[in-house]
Amino acid sequence: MALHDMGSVRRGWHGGETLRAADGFGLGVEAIDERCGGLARAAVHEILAAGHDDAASAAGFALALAERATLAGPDEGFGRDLFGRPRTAERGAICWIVQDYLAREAGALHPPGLVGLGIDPARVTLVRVRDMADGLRAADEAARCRGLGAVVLAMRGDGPAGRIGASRIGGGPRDWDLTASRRLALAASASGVTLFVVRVAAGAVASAASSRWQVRSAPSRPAPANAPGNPAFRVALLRHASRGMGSEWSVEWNRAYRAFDLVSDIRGAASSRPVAALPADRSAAADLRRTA
Amino acid sequence: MVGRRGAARVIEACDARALELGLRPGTALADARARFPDLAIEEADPAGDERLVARLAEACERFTPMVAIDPPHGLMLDVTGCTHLFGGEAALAAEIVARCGRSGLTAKVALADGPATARALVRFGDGGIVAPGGSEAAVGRLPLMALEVGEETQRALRRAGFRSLADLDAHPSVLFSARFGEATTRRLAEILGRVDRRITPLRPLPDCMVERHFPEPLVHSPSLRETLAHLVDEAGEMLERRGQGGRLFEATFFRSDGVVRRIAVGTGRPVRETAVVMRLFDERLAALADPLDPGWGFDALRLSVPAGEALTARQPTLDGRVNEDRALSDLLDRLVARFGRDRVLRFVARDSHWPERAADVVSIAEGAPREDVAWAAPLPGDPPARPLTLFDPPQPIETLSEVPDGPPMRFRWRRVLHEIVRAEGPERIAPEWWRDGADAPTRDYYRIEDAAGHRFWVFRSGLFGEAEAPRWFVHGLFA
Repeated sequence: MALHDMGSVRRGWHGGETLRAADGFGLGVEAIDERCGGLARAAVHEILAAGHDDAASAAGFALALAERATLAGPDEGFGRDLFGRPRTAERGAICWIVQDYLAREAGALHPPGLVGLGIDPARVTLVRVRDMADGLRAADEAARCRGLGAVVLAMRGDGPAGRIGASRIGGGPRDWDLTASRRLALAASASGVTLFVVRVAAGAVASAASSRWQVRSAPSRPAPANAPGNPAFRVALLRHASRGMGSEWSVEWNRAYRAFDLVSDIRGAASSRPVAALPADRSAAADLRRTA
Repeated sequence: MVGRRGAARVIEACDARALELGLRPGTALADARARFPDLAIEEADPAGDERLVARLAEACERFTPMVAIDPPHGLMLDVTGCTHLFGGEAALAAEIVARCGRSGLTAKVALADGPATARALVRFGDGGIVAPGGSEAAVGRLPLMALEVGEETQRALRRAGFRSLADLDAHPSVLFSARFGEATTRRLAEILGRVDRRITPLRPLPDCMVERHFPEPLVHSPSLRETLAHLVDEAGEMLERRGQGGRLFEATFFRSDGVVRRIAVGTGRPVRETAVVMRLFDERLAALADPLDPGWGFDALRLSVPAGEALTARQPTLDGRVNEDRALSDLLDRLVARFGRDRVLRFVARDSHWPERAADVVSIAEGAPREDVAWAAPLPGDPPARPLTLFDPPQPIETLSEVPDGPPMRFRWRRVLHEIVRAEGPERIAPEWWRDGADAPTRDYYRIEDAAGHRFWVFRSGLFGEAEAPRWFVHGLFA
């Protein structure tokens, strides 16, 4: 256990998930989970990629959340072991639904990369769909299946219905809207499946999602010899059913603990990172106005 | 129809009018033209003929699933036990002739106890229906040609004084076979109906098959679906009696104009519940690229289960895990029915270090995974060594101000310039020379991160000194 992993040690001493909500799961970071009250299982969560080139980051964040959502459920008290690593059982498979266009633009999911995140590729089923309408249909089917743990639907653009991968200009029918999201949310709450909808190059739209996050890549905490480190994200909570909206955090995914670490928590971080750690409750409104 | 035999052009087939005028298949074209200067000719198309016969074979499946092609230009149907569905043997024969007539073909039908008898009657006799056990009498008057043995044997038989099959039958068979060969005796026995022979149908007989013939062609889709549901019910009952379930259900729609359409659905586990199977059929029918066109209506609908598998009722465990597994299996079946086998996939590891081949996707319908190769586990504490997404093919990039043998300082990709602040590498991956050839370039992979925090997996193709100008590519993106 490396000395600088103070965040993990602190977590271990607390002896248990910071989140004790009845059917929720968190990022594994105290500050975030307490602030927003955790994320609901059996609900829909939207994850927006801040820019076109943040698609892989958004997908990674969604998959990490899916992994956390399918860890030990609320009524299985597995507890933690001596080093703070959760003793968990995996619960349910993950269904990854991706639009063809997005797979061409950002690359196809590479199983060794899943292993690198700590996710077992054998738990993941891949569904390739031609367009958003098909994607929503597949997600709808999957959301009704009790045997599934989580569904991650990755789409590009907004619709209009029928145009593949296009961004909307002006008005017109969308594929992803309140009706579609509500249908998914109802299906999810009935079956217990947690849905994550990753939208790349799409704007925020009124939806029945329980939480909405905006994700962009963030500089990582370097590994020795100035090598790129663990996956790091800058996440902004745009909307949440209870609270915590407008906050931004820099987090890093820890594969061993299958949880996030708040980057500013870590002491001894290399000073070569150009961005200073941000306080947890800084308003993200200014940042949002800057994003395209 | 004119074809080529050797150097000469001869008539292969003539229509009724030509036959009346005295032309026969085998006549040289030159002779025919000499007699009838304004003869209309068409080039023979044996391949086209075969295709037509194949289509007819499919159309004849409505009468019986056991259809075989009887070359040339013939079909053999085994209608044992089905003739009552069509109103009896005579009615069945009449319907076949009528159908062919509607398509512009003249058909000759013979119905007998065995295939050899029927073939002999139809090709060398007048066709017709032979009463059970009456084969001997029926073929008695057929000429020797009906035996279809070689030229030599035929000549020998003629020289011996035989003229028809009845003559042959009168002769004691032991001496017969000694003189004219076993094959001849066997052929004779088959034609006379003394030896039983089965045909080999074009499509194997399914384990379980139910069908419904409509008195009037059916166009109404909901009624069609209802009929299909009833058939699935019946099939389910049959399977239940045997303690089996099916993993493939095939619905065959027979149109009144002869077109046959098959829709099949598959499941991961043996099933027989109507609701489950109908759900899959609904998904498949809704997702058909080429919708089911009734034309002038469907005459018949057949549901077959090619192979039944043992279906044992499993006790659900205390945590209901079996039901969840079933629910997941059913979901995957529905997704496959809706989107196709190639779009619902799972990951398999391959025994290869070459990134494009280290992992593969396999259709979920392919069956139980072989657990041979395990995923390479990353070293604990290290950041991910492989990217989350991979481009196929790798995307070329321009690298600028690179240090030879080192990672790039900056690169341009998709018209965006990236400044590199962190890098690790090279990880040298040599090509699999036994697959890619000895000249395939070695790749040096680097994990790099730009100022904005995007992490890339890039490689240099070809080592300095190995290739003229090594090229750079981005192969994947990290989270």
